Amino acid sequence: MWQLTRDDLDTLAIGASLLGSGGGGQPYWFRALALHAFGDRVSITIHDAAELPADMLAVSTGLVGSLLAFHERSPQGSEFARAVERVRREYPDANACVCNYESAGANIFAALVVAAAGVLPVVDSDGMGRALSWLDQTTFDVAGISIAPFVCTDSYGRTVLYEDVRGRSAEQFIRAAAVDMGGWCAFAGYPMTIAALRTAGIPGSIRRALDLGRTVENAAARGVVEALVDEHGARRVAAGRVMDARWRRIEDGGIGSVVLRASGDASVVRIEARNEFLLVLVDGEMTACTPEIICLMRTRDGRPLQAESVLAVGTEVDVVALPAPLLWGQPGFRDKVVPAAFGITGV
Amino acid sequence: MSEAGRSTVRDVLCLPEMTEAEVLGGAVGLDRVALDAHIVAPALVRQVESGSVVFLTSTESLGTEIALPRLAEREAAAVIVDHEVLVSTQWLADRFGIPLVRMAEDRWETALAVRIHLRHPLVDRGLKCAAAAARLSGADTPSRVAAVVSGVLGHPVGVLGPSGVLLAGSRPPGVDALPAALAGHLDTDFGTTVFVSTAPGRDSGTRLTCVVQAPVGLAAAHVETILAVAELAIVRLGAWAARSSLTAAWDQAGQGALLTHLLTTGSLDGPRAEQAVALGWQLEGFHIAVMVRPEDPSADRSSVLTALQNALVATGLAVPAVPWSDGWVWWTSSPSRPTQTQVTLRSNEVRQIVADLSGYRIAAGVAGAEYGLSGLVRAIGDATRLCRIAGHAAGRRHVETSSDSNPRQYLLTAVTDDEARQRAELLLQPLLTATDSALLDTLTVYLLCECSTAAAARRLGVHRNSVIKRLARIQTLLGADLDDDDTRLALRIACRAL
Repeated sequence: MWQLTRDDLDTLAIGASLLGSGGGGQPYWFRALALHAFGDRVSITIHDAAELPADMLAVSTGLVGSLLAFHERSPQGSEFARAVERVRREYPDANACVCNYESAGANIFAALVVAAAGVLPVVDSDGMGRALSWLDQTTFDVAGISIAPFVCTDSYGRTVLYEDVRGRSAEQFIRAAAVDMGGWCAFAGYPMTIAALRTAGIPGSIRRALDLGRTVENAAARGVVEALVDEHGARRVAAGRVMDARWRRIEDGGIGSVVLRASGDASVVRIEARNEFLLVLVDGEMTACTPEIICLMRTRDGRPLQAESVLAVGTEVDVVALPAPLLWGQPGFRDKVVPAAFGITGV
Repeated sequence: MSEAGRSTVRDVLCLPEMTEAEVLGGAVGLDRVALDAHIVAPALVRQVESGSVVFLTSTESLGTEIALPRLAEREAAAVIVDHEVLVSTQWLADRFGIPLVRMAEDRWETALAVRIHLRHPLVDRGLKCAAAAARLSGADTPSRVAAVVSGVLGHPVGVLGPSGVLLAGSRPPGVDALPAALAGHLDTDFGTTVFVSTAPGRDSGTRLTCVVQAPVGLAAAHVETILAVAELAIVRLGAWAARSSLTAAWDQAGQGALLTHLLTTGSLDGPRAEQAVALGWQLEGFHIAVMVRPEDPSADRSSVLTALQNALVATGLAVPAVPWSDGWVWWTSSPSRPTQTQVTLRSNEVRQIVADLSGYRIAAGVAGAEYGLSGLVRAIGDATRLCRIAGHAAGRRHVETSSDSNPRQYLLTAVTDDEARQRAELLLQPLLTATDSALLDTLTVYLLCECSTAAAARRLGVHRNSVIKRLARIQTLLGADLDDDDTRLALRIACRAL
C-alpha cells in the first residue's frame, strides 16, 4: 500500500501519457475530475493486490467512447462511482474494491475518482498495463474473466446493465451505449475476486506511471530519453524530424502514419498508429512493435506526444520503447496485442 | 537496356501495357536488368528470384514498405504496386535503388504481358503481330498506321515518304542516316532506330518507310519483334499508296472525260454539270486557262502530275490539274475581267511552275481572259495551241501566252506539231532509213535554196554533180517528182517538221 497525494496527479498524468503510447487520450479533464474528487483529501491509499483478501471483489472501471466528447460534455463526477456501485449490487455480500481496466492515458484517473469519493478502496492492478484500443484487449479477457455483468452510465443517471455478454460483442454493446449516451459513458465491469486479479491483472501500473512521470519531470529537457533508458529499461529506437504525418478518423478511433528522417544516418523511419503507436520501421525493418510501449517524445522538452497530434512537419522527436507489461509476453496473451491483432501482417 | 542486350526496367516501362505507369522512387535503378515478372504476396518476397519485376499483391503502403528491404536483398529488378505510398516508401526505394512503380491498370494482365516480353520473345512477337494485324486492318492512312504501331510497340513511330519526307507520326532523330536497305536497325546515340521500307516499283510507286525509335541497346529478339510489326505496317502502307494512286488515277480519268465532253460539245448537261460542281470547277466569270505538257512523251505521267500538283499548291493555286491530250489543263476564274497586270501575274506563276519542274522539260500555254462557259472552252483551246508552240528547243519559249505570241508562231505550230512530225516521218521514211545520211540534209538544203542545185552545192560544200546525183537518188527512194510544185511544198513542210 502507498499514498498517492493530490500533488502527484500532474506527475501521474505525464506517466499515464507515456503508458498511453500515443493513445489513451489527453488526461487534462480527467485529472481535473480527480482533483475535484480529492476534495480536502491530501492523499488516497493505493493498495497492491497482494495485500487485499483473496475473496474480495474487484470491479474495473474506466471511460469508454470519445475523449473529445468527454471534454465537451463535462462529467458530473459521480458517473464512475455509480457504475461501480451498480455492479457491486450484483454481489451484495462481497467486500469490494475498484481498479482500472486501463491504467494509461486519461483512464488512469477513473479508479482514483471512485476511490477519492470514498466509495471503495483502489487496487493498483489493471487489464492492460498500457493503452489499447478495445475493451476486449485486456488480460482479464484473455485469462477468461467475464466482463459481465457490466454497467454503462452517463451524466444524466441513465444506467444500463449487461449480462451474459462477452468478448467482441461486449465491445460492440458498449460502443453503441457510448454513442447513445452522448459520445462517452462510464464503464464498470470485469467483476472478479482479488485472487483472480492477482493472476489475470497487470500489477503496479499506477505506480509505474507515477515513476515514469517523476523521471520525466526530474530529467533535463534533453535528458528525458536517457533517463527513461537508465531508470525504466526503455529502448532508444530512433530520433529525427517529422517529415510527413497522416491521420484519419475511423469508426473506432483513428489510424495514421508518421514518417521521420533519422538525424544520424538519414534512415527512413515510419511509425504506424491505430489509436496507439503500433510499430516502428527503420529502413523497412521492424525495430519496435506492440506490446512494447512505443512513445514519441518531443526532443526539445521531452514531453510525450499523442499520435493524432503529431502533425507538425519538422518537429524533432525521439522514439523510445518502454518494456511491455510482462503478462502480455506470456503465451496466449501476446496474440491479443501483436501487430497482427490490429490487422498488420507480414512484419 | 543493358550492354548485353537484355531488357531493363526502363524497357519494361516502355511496354504499351505500362504507359500509365508512374515511377514513385528508385529511379536510379531503371537500368537494372529485368529477367522475369512475378506476382508476389508480401509474405513470399523472400522467395523472389534475382532480376524479377515484382507485381506486389499488397494493397497498402505499409506492406510495400515492409517488402522493399527483402526485395532489395533478393535483387529484384523493380516493384510494381497499385496504391499510393507514403514518402517513406519512396525514400526507401531511393535508398535501395530499386524502382518503385505505381500503375492503376489491371496489373495481372500487365504482369503476364511483361513476363511474355521478358521470357518468351517469340510469343511476344506473335501477340504483338496479331494485335497489330487486327488493328491495322482499320488503319487506312499513314497517321493511323503510325498510331497503331506506336500503340502496339510502345515506341515513337514515324512514316516517311520519298526523300525522307515525314508523312505521319514523329520524325525520329538520326533518321537521315538510314541505309538504303529495305529493313534493318541502326544504333545511334538516341536509341535503336528500326526501319522497314517498301520496295519502289514492287510494293508502291515510291519508297515508304516505317521507322520505330526504340531505346538504346534493345535485345535482338525485341528488335526482331519490332521488325515483324513494322513489316505488317509497311504492307498496309503499300496498300494505302496503291489505293491512293488508283483513286487519283480514277479522279484524273473522270475529270479528263468531263473536260473532253466540255471541249467537244461546248456545254455541260445536267449530270455532267453536277459532276463539274462536285469537282470544284469554276465555270462562271472570266477564265485564264493554262495547259502544260512534258516534252518527253515517255515521261512518267504520275510523277509529273505529283510534281505539278505540289507546284500548284506551293504557288497557292487551289485548282485541279485536269488531264487533257498529252498534258494537263487548269484555269483560274474571277467575277470581273482581269487586268493586264493580273494576266501577267498568272503567266509569271506558270513560268515559275515550269521552272520548278525543269527536270521534266515542261512546256506551257496560257490563254485568256475569256468569259463564261464558251469563253472557258475558247481559252482552253487557245492554251492548248500555245502549248504546242512552246517548247525547250532552240528558238522556242517554255511558256507561250496569248498576249505575246504572233501569227508566225501559229503557222509554225501548224507544221511542227506532233501530227505534222508523224506525217513527216512517214513521208521521209526512205531517206531516214537510207544508208546515206546525207540524202535528207541534201533534200532540205536543196528545198531551202529554192531548188537551185548550184546554191545547194555551195551550201553543202560539195560539187554540183554530187547534188544532182543525190537528188536523183532521193527521187528514186521517195518515188516522187521533185519538179512538181506540190511535191516540193509537201517535202519542204516535212523537212521542217522533223
